[in-house]
Amino acid sequence: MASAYDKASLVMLPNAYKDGKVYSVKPEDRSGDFTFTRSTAATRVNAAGNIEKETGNLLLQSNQFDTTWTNARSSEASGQSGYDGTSDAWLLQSTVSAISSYLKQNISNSGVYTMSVYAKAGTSDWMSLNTAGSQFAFFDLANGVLGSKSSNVVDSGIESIGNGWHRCSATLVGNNDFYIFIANGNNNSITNSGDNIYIQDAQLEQSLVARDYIETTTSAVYGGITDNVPRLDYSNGATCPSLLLEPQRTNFINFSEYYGQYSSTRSTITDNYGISPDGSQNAAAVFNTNDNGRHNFGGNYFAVTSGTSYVNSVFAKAGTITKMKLKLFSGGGSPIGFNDGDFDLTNGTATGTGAGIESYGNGWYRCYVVDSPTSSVSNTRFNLELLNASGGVSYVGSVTDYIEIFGSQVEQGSYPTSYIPTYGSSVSRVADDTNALNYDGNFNSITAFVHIKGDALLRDTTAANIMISATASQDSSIRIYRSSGSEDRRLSVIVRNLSASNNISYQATTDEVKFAVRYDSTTGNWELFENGVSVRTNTNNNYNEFKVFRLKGESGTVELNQMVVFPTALTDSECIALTTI
Amino acid sequence: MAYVYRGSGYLSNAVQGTGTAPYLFTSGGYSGSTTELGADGIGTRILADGGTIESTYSPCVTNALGKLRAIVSLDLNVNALFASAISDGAIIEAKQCFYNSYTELQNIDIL
Repeated sequence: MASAYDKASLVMLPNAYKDGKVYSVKPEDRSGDFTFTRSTAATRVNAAGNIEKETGNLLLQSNQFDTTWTNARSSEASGQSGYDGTSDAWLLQSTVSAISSYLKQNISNSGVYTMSVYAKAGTSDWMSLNTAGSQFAFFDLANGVLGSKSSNVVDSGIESIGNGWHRCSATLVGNNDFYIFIANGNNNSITNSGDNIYIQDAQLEQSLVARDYIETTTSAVYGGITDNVPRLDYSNGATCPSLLLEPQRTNFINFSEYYGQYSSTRSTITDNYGISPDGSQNAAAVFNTNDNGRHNFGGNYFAVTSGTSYVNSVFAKAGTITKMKLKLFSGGGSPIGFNDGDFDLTNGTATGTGAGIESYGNGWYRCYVVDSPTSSVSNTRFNLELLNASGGVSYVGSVTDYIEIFGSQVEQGSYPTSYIPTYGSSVSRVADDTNALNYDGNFNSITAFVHIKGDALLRDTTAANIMISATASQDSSIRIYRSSGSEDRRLSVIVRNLSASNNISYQATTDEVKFAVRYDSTTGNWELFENGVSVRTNTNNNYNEFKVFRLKGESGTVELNQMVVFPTALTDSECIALTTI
Repeated sequence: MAYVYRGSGYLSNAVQGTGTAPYLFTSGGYSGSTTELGADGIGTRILADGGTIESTYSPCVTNALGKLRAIVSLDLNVNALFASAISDGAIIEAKQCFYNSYTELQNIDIL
């Protein structure tokens, strides 16, 4: 007698990963580890329940100010006491009197960016962050107070770090060079020789807020859920993660978080108002005006095709306003035959054909509408309308009334996928894929156990999410994917022999399911167990040894909790013990 | 449930446990008193590191050390199972979830 763990050849639970790899706990020689590819960044819900994104620092030599950076009537000296207890800070000092002095790095980007640097007053109490495009924000380093900013700066921030240090940031659209000016007052960049401030750790990132600092040297550095990082996802309040495998999707919304640049009707936008589902203060507030009429905002222009399914979604949180309407229509305001969705952000309910709502905690909901437009238009706009307490669209508003929003997304598909942030143009997230793992575990006979999750009514195609096969071919394979059946679209198990005939074909009865597929090569007997019950049997030995394992998001979204593979046909009671939920 | 954790500083090799004396080995012990080197040579390692060991010649200390040997540590177990993955740079998440699944598999008997 041995344990299931001891008898298994391949065990992937999953909880161990790194860039480009998902680890199996067995075999211990690492021959059962999966390589992982996804050539784009992505997001996940992390263990803290926050949406986790890619992070990055686009500056070079982010704390080596005597390299790559250019002085203008200034000099710098290293070895100063830093905010973090190191001696890695720099003294930035003016060398000429009665004129501005600064340090800059040439860099050019479009879209929404946040520039930041840690700074402390020296003989000068002020600093400004600028771009070559006349964007500026001043900071009072002596008192930790924001100074003035140009109207083309979206937001500025100053955070006390202690010991006189502050992290200063400016968010803007379009970035042309990164300037750090010594200043002698609000809106006063004229300095004299010897005037100085302390600086450390500069960062430029695609974001509406400054996030954790990332050190760079000769190239930009990215972190978080960047390319090829597998996603252990904790969505829906899960305490244990699933390996998230999603298909390719594109967010057609150009600015998914920066709402200030959209058109408002009897409403105003305040960016960076509240804490969003990603844990940062980058949620926008949509305030009403005192006017009588409909209160809404929207924008963006993208093409949709008649008869093709799309998902229109946004994260929203009740403020003093608790109800809203989500719409898609043409740029001219004409209907395109896409259903509206009405959402109650207090009760967490959705009304309208194809409308749905999911809780993201802390009062946040992801609100979405799935539908197919009846018109093909090239200038589709999204629109969000503030409703009154009774759900009415036209009323006299109040300037103090608002809701919070974050993360707009319009994607082609029949269900919402993980959030795809955009900062100036549409962004695609490609499919997750482990590629083919060739692992010879002597799987002539086999018992493959998987614990997977997936919502009903979610399906894109019929390709395999999980395939265990003799070769890369679907012949002689065990596949798990979303069924193409029209009655519902839960996960299905298909066992296909070398003659391309299916010996097992079964659709799951629950969204979360434990399957065990058992094959005895000596008898040719197949049996499928679902959640502790035998649900299919067949006899056919037209199969080769199973050696290839692949997990991917091509056919739809699957969340994989466990995969355990045995090189033997387990008994009925063993399969039942494995699959009982 | 009791757990073990490591000391700090020059006692970084020492083991402490809840439900036992807070410090089995301290720097302020009686030099020259009767000492016991402890489980797994811990006393030897402390002395070699320049530390002083307070008297441990008592049944309670001996028993405590014996119990500590059997205590299950989540971190130690998971890290041991993923030792080669960790040295390959793996990020390990949700250790308790992993350990629960692992224990479930260990508790299913296979012929």
